[in-house]
Amino acid sequence: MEMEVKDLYFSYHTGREVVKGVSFKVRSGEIFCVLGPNGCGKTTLLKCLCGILKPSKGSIFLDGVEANSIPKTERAKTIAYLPQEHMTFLPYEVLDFVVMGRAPHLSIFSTPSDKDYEIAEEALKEVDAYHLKDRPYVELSGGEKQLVLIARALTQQPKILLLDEPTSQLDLKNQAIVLGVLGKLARRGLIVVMTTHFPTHAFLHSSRVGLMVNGRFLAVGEPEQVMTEENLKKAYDVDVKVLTVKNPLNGGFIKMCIPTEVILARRCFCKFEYTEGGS
Amino acid sequence: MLKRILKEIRGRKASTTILILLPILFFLLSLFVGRYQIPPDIVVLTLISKILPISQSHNIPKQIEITIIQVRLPRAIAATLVGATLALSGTSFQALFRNPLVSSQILGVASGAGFGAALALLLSGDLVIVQISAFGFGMVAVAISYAISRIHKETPVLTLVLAGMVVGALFSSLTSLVKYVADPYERLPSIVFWLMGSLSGVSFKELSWSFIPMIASCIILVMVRWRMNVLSLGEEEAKALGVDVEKMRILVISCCTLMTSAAVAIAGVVGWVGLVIPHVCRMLVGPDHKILVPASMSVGAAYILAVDSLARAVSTVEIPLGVLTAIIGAPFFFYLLRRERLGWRWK
Repeated sequence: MEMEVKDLYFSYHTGREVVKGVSFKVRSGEIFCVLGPNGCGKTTLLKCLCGILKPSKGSIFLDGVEANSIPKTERAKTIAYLPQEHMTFLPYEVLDFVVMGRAPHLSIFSTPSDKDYEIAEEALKEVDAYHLKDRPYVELSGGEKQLVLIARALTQQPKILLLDEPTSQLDLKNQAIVLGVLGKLARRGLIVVMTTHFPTHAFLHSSRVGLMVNGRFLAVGEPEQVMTEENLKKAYDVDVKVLTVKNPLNGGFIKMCIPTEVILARRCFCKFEYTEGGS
Repeated sequence: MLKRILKEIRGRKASTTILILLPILFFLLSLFVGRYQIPPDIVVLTLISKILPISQSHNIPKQIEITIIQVRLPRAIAATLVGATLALSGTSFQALFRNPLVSSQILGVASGAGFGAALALLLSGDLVIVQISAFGFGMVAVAISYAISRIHKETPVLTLVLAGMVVGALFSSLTSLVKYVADPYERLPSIVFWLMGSLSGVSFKELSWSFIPMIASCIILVMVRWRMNVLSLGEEEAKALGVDVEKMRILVISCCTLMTSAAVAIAGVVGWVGLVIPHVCRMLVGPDHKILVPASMSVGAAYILAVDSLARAVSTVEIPLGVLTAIIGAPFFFYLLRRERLGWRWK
């Protein structure tokens, strides 16, 4: 599977252009991180990719087929989208909630069969959330909700997973769990496209990064090449140090980003070595 | 897998049985109850005699037969249909608009139909014309609401609800205008009584035409009931799940309007059913529309059957149905509100 986005534009009815010519390519097994300041158009880009919004110009190719020529239900069998905040009003039980992911596979007049419930249960097991299946969705914690949402997306049996800031409201443990699940799914051959506010996550988890500013990609490519101190400064308008930290587990190196101001304010308590330019 | 099914059956067996038996019970009850006292065994005998040829052996007075077959039976059928459709459209609208305060009348059906009936009562007074006018104007009101909300090509839910309020207010004031110009001794009382809602005087003739839109809409909505789960997630998520939200919305609104207009045309304005019954059912069987939709039809039918029996039995003068549903519905709703959180989480 390959998704190619070519010169994508989107503007709202008011004429405000939010996405201004975005191009990139992702293949099976890759995690593509979209990074950028608030309001740069990350969410809009994801909504264009999954078909909630119709791009005003440009194309999205799924294995070479123009996505807008694919019927909506077919598209939903290929692409699953997880919104940043899911607002549900009715306290559906988790299994009933997850099985809604079968919607694109079921005709309008049918209700999910045992087979569909089985697929939903499998999806819950996949993300280690099977024990939640009888709980009301609204009563789950943020981390559990995110896992259940991922399970619902998996129930669609998609090839591409689009996630809007899946970790922004989670604590450290749940971030690790969610990112771990996403890594596992990518290794199984899914394309994962996610937006994030944590540059470090992009370093740790993504195979490729798009740094978005003002509706455009400032740079696209491998994390090391895209997330330079210079580019991050341009994107976020703040001085950033890219630190290289020794991985205590295998002796390799891990990169992370910290705003310079933070380091200065802490009088550089860190005993890590860091090198200019993130090399 | 099998475990899940077994658990489901065990958990839901009792409620399923109750939900099937409830409307049947109240249906039979409403055949037994009335101002004209008929012993229960005669009622049963009369009903059986219509199906099996045993009427020769038991001599049933003509008057009793007419009371049961021509008066009570159509009325019970009407009550069943009206209750089921009003509750079902309330449930559908609450899912569609993702709002627990919405009822079957949110888009102005009742106000439109009320105006249609009042106008027809003012001009002619023929019962068939009144019903057709009510039915027609109910649908016109919703069509106007929908047209107004489409100013911006797409239809956001909020615009639709606001448009419904505007249209409802417009038709309510038109109804007031009709009442104002109506002859206060002949026409006005009949308009006022009609607007209070009542099932008295329903005959098979009236049922015969409204039967079809009601049953057809019910069948369609029952068939698409699981999609209502997906719709209740909100427009964007439903779209992301491949659902054509606009088409589904038109389908649900059309069905609800068709059957509500028909229900209002037979029974007048009967409030509170479309609002309260969905909440009651959500507490009984949970929010999954796969079960909630049939449940709300069953409970809605049973409720109207019960209230209509009460309306006939309580006093010598029949109490208008719409008045009674509100008098019973409002305090009951308040009780539920205190007891539980109505199955909605505002979060």
